Amino acid sequence: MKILSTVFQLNNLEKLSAHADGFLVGSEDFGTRLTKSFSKDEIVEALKITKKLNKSLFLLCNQMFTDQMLETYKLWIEDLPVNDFAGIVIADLGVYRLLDSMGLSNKIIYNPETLLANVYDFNFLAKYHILGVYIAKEITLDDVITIGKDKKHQMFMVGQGHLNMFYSKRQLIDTFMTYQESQNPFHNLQDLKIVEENRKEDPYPILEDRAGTHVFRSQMFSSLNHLEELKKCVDYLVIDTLFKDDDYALEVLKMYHEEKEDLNIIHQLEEKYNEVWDEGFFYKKTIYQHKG
Amino acid sequence: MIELLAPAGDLEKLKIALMYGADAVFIGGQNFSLRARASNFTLDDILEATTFAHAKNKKIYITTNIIPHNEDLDGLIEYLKALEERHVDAIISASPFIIDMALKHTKLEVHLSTQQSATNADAANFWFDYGVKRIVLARELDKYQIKKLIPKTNADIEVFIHGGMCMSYSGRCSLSNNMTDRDANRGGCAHSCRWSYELTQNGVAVSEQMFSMSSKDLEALEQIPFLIEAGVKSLKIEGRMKSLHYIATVVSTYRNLIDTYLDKGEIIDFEPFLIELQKAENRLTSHGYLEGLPGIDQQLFDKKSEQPSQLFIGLVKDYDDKTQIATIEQRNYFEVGYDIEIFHPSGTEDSFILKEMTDENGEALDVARHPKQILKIKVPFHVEPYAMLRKK
Repeated sequence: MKILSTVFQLNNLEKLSAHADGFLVGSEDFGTRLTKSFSKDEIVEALKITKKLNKSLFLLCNQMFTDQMLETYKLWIEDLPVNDFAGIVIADLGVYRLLDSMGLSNKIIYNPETLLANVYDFNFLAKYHILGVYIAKEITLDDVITIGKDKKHQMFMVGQGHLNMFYSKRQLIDTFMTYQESQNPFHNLQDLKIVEENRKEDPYPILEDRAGTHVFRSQMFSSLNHLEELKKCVDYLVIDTLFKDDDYALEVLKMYHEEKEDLNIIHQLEEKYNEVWDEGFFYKKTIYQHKG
Repeated sequence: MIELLAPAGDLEKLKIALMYGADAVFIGGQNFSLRARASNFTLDDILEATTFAHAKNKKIYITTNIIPHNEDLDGLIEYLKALEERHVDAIISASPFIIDMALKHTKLEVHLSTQQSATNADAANFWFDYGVKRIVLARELDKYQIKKLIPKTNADIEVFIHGGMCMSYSGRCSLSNNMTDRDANRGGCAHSCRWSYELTQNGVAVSEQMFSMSSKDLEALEQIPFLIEAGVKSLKIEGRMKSLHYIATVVSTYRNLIDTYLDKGEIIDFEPFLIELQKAENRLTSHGYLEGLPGIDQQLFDKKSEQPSQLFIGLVKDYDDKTQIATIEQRNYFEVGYDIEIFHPSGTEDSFILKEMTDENGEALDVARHPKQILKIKVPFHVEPYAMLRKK
């Protein structure tokens, strides 16, 4: 199982590469929920650095696309050395069609967030010879393992991070500020949370970027305790450091790399970053309401 | 010919939708369907629905639009075959497993649910090549993007025109899962996006005003001519949990608008249609994404915007032309002396002053105060079963 991480500063790639097998970067033009939006030049630079470090680089192109965006995207990606990427993460099957027409289907990693929640759906793109797909976030560890046993392509999984719960195309914070006849100083900031009146103990991180508005789980999901089991089925485990920083990535990557849960470090991280670690949906079965 | 597609939560609503002008109705069966709280149809109900609809040359679509987990896969093929045996016209699905099983084991037509959030022609073509005949587009497209997409795909395109709006890209939301343990993609959505929140920065509220992600309902009267000319095949009204009166009013209004446009080639004044639509319920509406990225006019910042309508006071069950006595079922409080409007399934309206009323046993009444009570009233003109009484 390879460990991938997001990154804030390219000059930290070398430091992080001691504990990571690869990295994910993207541009806000086509990617979303990014630690940082990198320019085309920076992405090319990242390719050079990771190549030198003998690490993989994955490109995040995980927005939902209109036809107009696909036209722009084609020009953008044609101008990049696409074959140097280890993979391209997409959320939209329209992007799959485009990349396939460019002979890049073997680079594609499909991440529709919630839609691949059973063994059949997880494998439905296998006949198109893509590189892999992300498993849904809201399923149990048992389901992950069961699906992994019958996987027909590479399995990607977010192993650590504030899992995204909500992706609206609307600029909801901007609209809220407009309603109050104020400017919006909060666009693309990573220090915002929303608090529900009956769940004050669970502030949910919220991010408004060019692609829209996103709400995340309040707890920091961690799979650190389950690496032995996950290694049997997950090919790429992603450490998503959105809302954190590269120091955070370094501490977390070390533990994943060494497969060692260091409670002292975890407590320090929880305190410093004001977060609580949990195991997400690994042991939390959500209800199929009709049967329930 | 463009299709007007309506929702129904039970057989009565289904019949009302078809009688008031829908060309097709989508309903949920008891398996594999979202909107778990809507009254979902048994297989016997589905047979009655298709029989009723096909006699009127209309269609029934069944939603099989959950995103299944491993434990939800059993029994699907048998269920799909049962739907086929009941002459269902299409299923609406998002899961590749459900789509594949339908294509492999039945001749059912498959429509792609908006849960897949198709937002471009390439995505539509992916699913068309996969075997899906119709694509229900994501709600996140404006009317120009829809117009640009249609010539680039062979798939039939269905567009939402009225009803509630998912705030997230449909199917890509797990707010409900996280906050209530109810899986939105398996029929349990708790509408957590409509709750009130405080927006904070580093733990400090940035405003005294509560933050809301809630949207006004979609209403697309003014966009209908554009969408028809753009080549949209089906115009979809949302709301399987809505009332009988809501469905009748909304369907009838859009039916009249579509027919007027197709007949005259233009709509000179949308106001009468809007006034009629507002009789359905007092929910605030907007054009959603159809005129561009939603802003302040499309959002709801006051969660008390929904007011239940008291306009709908009775449903006609029968009418005796000789005695001019209508048998009705009470739906809201009314009294002798009220000025009452009869709303016919044809979309036309008549009115009269209620002068006399009795209960089933002929006992004279001045006031109708009991829900679903059967009453006899004198109506001085012919009324059809399923006509509705409104307080003017």
